[in-house]
Amino acid sequence: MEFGFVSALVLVVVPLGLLALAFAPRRPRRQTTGTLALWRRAARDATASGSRRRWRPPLWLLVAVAGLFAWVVALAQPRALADDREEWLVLVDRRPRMLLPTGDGRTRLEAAVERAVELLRDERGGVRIRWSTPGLPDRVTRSSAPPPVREWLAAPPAARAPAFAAHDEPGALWVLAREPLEQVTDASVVTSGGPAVPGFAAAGADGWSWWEPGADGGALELRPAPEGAGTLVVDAAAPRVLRAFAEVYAGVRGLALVEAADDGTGDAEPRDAEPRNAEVRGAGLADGEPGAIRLVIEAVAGGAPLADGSRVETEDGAVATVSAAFALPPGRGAGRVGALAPRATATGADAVVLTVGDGRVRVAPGAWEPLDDASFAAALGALFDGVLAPDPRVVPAAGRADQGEPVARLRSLPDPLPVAFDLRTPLALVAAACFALAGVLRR
Amino acid sequence: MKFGGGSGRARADRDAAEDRGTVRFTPALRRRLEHFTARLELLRRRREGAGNATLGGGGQEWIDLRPYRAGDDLRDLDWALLARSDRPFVRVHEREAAERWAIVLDTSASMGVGAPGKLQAAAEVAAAWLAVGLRAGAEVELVWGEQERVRARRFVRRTELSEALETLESLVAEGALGVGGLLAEPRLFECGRHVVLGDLLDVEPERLFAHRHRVQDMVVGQWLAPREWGSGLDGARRWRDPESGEELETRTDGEVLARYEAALARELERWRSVCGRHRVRYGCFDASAPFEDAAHELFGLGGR
Repeated sequence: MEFGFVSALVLVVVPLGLLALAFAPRRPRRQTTGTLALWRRAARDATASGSRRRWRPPLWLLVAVAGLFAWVVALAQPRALADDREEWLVLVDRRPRMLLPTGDGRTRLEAAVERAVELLRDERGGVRIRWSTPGLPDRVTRSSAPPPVREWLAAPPAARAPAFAAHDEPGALWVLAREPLEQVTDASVVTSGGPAVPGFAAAGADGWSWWEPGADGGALELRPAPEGAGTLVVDAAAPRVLRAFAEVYAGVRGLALVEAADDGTGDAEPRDAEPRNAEVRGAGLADGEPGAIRLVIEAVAGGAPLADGSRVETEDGAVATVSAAFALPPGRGAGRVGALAPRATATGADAVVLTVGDGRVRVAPGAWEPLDDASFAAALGALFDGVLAPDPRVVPAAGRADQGEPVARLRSLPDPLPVAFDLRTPLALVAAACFALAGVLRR
Repeated sequence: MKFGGGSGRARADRDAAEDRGTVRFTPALRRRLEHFTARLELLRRRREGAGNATLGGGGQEWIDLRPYRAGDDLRDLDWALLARSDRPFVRVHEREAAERWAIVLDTSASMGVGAPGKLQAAAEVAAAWLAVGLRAGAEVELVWGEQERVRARRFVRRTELSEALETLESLVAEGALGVGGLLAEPRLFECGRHVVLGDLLDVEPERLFAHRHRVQDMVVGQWLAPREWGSGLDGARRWRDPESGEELETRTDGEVLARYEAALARELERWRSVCGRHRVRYGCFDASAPFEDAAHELFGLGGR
């Protein structure tokens, strides 16, 4: 706070003096009375009941002194200084591509956000940052505070980019994987950079898109789709009723049904039948043929037993019930490369027929009670479809191709925030209110 | 708002100066007294009216009313007043009134508390009684205390009223001789009507009525200063009893004030109860109120 007329603060001694006088010890007024005996009795009774209390100034006087204090301070023309010089709107791309690695162990998102904060702090000092990203509420921090990147990593990735074009304006900062292709005039830009990530990008009717980095920057390669619509591998240890349904489901969805032998070695077909296109381990795909689309239903030793025959709980905690088929636990796979990549879509003539996720439905062995056939079929059908459903976490070809040196560039600066606020009027209003209240209390 | 500091002695002097223990009848007050007695006379005549020969007791002029006591002649009962007030009163005839009245006026130091003091208020009502009594042909004995001794003076003729007022104006609230001491005066037993005026803080009600059987009629008026009612008090006070000189420092707000007011209310209720039991007209008044308020009640007029 600063004052335009500091000398006026000398007048503060007036309310302070009044306050000191009000609290100063007072000699009681001497008066005569013919009822001294009654006063003595009343004082004795009050003391006996513990109600004796010290004198204190009346409330109206305290309120009036507060009003006088506010008035004196208002005379000094006070101004409140703003904490932040300016506010930046930072738009953060949180699509799956931003969750791919940069090579140093961090995701592109972490690298880019950290770079953006450093840029603002170094170039602009203490500023206020409004973080905006699709799917999550805006957050406001100061440049000296850590950004909410942990919260973003824990949340599901966004399916769309921020509205960059709508915020090509001074004070806007775009945080994304690589420099935008369109012309940017006013917005500042920070990119994560980092290497292009090889691997499966998307599946189409003509084949699968496959990103192959190379010395010239890499290229998108179209590979033939796996033969057949896919395979549904059923563990021999899976419950009978599940296997029965799998047979029906495979027929409806056009999957080849393969029943794996349970030889107890763990090397049976289903356990090795992990889809070859899945980057579940994040190491990219080695050269070779892409694997078949597979939906593996396998029994897992030690899994939770079926409670009542209407519940399926996978090793990862995914739960299917008759009424609610499939639910991924929150944050499952978020931030992990492997969970993002292995998605493929087999197409039919006019709609998605099958999708393959991590390709597995793991069920616990146990006695499956006879169920209502219709609801059971609906539940498991939804469960399998859920496993195969398209997922927003698929990294498209463009995302895998993002590469290059990181960029951090400020363009147009935002309008400066008000440096100071005039406090005279609010203080004068406070003083007037205090005087009015004191008058009411005095009456 | 007064703040702490300053000279405590100066303030004590100022507070003492606020109290007034003297009596002064200003010309305006004398006119009011005259007006009051004239109105009282007019009311008396109106009540007596044409029925005097039959209701007035053998054609005697009645000059006052008093509460009915067992054995009173029912012909003297004021039936109209009974119908209005539901309380029996009998007319006091000139012959009866002429017997003797005694006005006992407390002039102890506690009567000087307040401004105007309680003595001023009580003396104004005493003056009204004097005027009425002398006008009715009664012998009025004025009894007061002075230098710890009982003083009395008798007034017989109507022309002595101004002299009586001068006597009242000479009174000063001092000493510790209050109503309790004055009631021991033997001359009081010769009077049929006693008018006791004071703050009654030094006497128990029962003692006041110890010789009630000798008195045909009794009126008791009590005055308290505004500060003694507890009004307008806040903060702390150092109280001093003007008679004993004792002092007490206490708070005069909050629970202390509430307890004081409750104790005072109990005390006044006790007076009211005892007086009612003895069929004595009683009233307690604020010393700052106009004397007509007290006079109307003590003369049994009910309303103005």
